Amino acid sequence: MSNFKYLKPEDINKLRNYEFGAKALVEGYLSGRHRSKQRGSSTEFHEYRQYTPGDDPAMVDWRVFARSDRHYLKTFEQETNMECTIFVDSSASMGYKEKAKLTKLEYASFFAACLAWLVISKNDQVGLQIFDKGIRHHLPPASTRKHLHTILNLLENNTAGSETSLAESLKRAHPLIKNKGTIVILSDFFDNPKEIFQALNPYIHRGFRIHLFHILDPGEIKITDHGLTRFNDMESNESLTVHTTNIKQAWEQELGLHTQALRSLAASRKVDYTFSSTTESYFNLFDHLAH
Amino acid sequence: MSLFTNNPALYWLLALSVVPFIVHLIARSKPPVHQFSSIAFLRKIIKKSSRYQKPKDRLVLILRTLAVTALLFAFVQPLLISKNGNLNNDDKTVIFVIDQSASMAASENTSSRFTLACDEAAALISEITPDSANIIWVNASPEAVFPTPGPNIDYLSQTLQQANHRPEQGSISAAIQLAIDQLKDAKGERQIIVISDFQKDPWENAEIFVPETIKLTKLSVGEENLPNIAITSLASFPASPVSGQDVAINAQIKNFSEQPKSTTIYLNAGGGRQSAQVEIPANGQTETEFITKFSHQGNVAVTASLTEDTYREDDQRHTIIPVRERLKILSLTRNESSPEARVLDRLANALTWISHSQTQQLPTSGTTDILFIHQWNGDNIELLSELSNNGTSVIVTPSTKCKLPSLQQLLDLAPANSTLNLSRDPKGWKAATSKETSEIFSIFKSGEFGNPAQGTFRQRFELPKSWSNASIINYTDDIPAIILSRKPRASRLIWNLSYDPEYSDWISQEPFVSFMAELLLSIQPSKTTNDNELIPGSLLSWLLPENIDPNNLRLMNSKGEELATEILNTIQGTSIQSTIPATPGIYEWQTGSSTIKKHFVNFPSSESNLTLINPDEIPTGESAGKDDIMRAEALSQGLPMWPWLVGAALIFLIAESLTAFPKKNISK
Repeated sequence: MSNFKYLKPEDINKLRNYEFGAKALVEGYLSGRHRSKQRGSSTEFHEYRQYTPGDDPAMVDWRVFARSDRHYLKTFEQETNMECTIFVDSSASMGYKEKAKLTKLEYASFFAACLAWLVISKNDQVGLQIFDKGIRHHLPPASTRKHLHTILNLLENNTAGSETSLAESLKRAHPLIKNKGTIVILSDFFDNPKEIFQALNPYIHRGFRIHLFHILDPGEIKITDHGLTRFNDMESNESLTVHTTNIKQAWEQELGLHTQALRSLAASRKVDYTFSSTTESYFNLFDHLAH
Repeated sequence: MSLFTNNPALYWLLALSVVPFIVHLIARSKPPVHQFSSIAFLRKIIKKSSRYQKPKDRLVLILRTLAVTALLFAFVQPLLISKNGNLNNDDKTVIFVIDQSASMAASENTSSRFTLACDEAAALISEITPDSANIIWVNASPEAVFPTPGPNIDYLSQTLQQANHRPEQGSISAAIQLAIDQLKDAKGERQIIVISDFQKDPWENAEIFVPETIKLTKLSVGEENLPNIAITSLASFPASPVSGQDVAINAQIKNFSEQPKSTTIYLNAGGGRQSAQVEIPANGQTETEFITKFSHQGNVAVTASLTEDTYREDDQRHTIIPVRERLKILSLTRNESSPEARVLDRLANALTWISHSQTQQLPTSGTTDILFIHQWNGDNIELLSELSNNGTSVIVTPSTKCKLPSLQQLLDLAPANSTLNLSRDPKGWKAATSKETSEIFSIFKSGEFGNPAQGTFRQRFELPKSWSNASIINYTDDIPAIILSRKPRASRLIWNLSYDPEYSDWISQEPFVSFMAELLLSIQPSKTTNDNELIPGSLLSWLLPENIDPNNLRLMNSKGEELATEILNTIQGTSIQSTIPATPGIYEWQTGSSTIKKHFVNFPSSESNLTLINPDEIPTGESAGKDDIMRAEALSQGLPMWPWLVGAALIFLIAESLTAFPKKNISK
């Protein structure tokens, strides 16, 4: 296990001692068993609830109707294994690094590797989706150690590719993810927030728990003053000559608006959103998974 | 307001103003490349901010350029001067430039133009009430009443009442220059008022350029174009005749009016009086010629006059004709008993109005009228040319050592390729006149005096036939015999017509003496300038010979009045001069009862045309070319601009910094 670039032995030791077992997250990732609120047929009774139009009439408890003259539905609890799918943005922009030690892609890969190990170590299933403008690799969720090795190899051999389209990737990935579970998206989110959340809506409606990790380099958060500079786009290879002094303030304002838009949309849809700089430890991101 | 720079040599520094532009262009052409994650955001920002960013960039560039330009301009040290004079002074200085020239004597109704000009100036002084003023008279030597403009206006008014016109030509440019110089150190508002009749001849080519800080006003006192007839020229031919020689005295008369005129011209010459009636076309001129002769040597005063007209100043004209007793002929020969010199001696005996002598050295300039060089080797060409230019006619008879180029150079003849050979033929050659129209042969036209080159010539030089067109006598085979080249003051001749009795029988021929007499009179030197003439307005001055005692000299005018003189001792010697400027007339320097020197002064002919021009037609403007005046003026009165420019540069730089690097306001 120690031969993998993105999963270091010291990280594994740290993960073993990590104290998020006591938290609510335990229910999702560490116990391996989860009580589902999904209504359906099962052996263990959960509760009665009043019928509402659209409910399956077959689920109406006619005995209760006979006694009370009211329509109640009898619901049962269902036990199931949890699935976690990690989306790693591998567009060219993720290869950017200015002030940090790691590129955004490396930072995301470290976190993805640790998360995969953690999930599999608790006998839950984890899948991996590497995307840029489309899906480059898709690994369906599984919980074997071999599967973990495959994930780690994929991450290790992954390089920053072409342009980004998170929305398009999410659309394409939707039919590939059979069961509902947790989605973790690691990206710099240089995309239209509305389009991103439009693409996330199907997942939200299906009941997915979604975590967005917005990863940026410090050089992107605060543009370094280079004077008159020709900026070369890593994704499109287009260039633009500007004076950093002139755009510095505007850039920070624009980035603030962008993150604010992402944060607002995420809050409105009960999606977890976390902003992170590549200079921070990726272990801090686990704290946000508990929310 | 105008700018003057104290260091114009540093103007090139202003070219460095383009440095900000060049730096801007170079910086934009190759900026450092920075790989960035996504420039879509940058585009969005630029799209949003371009509305104000581009003007801001341009503003920054303009501010930088202005700052650099202001700094560079400070090095040139500009000085701000005001058109209204000193920026901090309310004084007013006026210079009246009043035309005092001869034309101002013309009467306009009851008053002369000069009186009108003085009245106008007096009225203006009372009206303007300047703090300082001065009057500059436009005459031959313009002069100011005060050394510098002064506040004593009453004295100026009094001067105007007592002033008179002067029969002189006015020096307009000198007067204007003097006025500018007078105002150079004046503070406050400065003005030059030119009052004149603006007579056509002197003013139509005049230009009045004054510094732009001086106000120029032109006032015309002439109202109409007055008709006038004037004698504008009087000359004798020859200018310095020999006593007994016929002299033509030519008078030129001009009519400055729109109507043809008829008048009588009178000539007083050597006690004789002649008259002639002349008709002069409208706005035209005519000439009349009086033939006379003078029996005695000396300076003869000649005066031509016409019937008086409305403007009498120019109705007379004078000249002094120096009449010589004899024509001085000198033979330069190595052999005292040369046959040619002997022939000239005999000729001098026959013609009493010539004197002949021999020498073995070249004479000095002005001592000889005609120099014969017998057996010329072709040397001293430059000295001979100088002699000729200074008024000695030179006749050379070539020797066998003489080369053709020497002859060619002396007479400025066309180059010839042949060599100069001496030929002798016992049978001899005949010669004849080639230019019968020449005045030399005028008496031979009738045939009464025969052929001037009559005889047989058994020796001659084979001069190039191509020179025959410049000769007055040719051999019958077109070999030139006498080549004549007339120069402004004297003539140069090549003599190829032997009068040595051994080789010619010419001197024994009857026409020889007549021809020689006509030739010598014809080639006698003419004087281009008359040493006795002085211009009106100048002082009558005479540098005295050593044998004359200045204390015994009296200067008398043509009315027989004695004029005041003063004696001056200069480096050149003792001179005596009048104390007042000369007016037209004849003046005599007398000692005892004898006259030893005469001068004459004529009315300036340029003042005779009493036609006027509109003063507005006179080119005026700022004296951009008078840098020295402007410089002095700017230095004395200009406001130094460099502190302002440095301040402006600092302001521009601060503004540039605020624009380019606004206060940081990062929203987190």
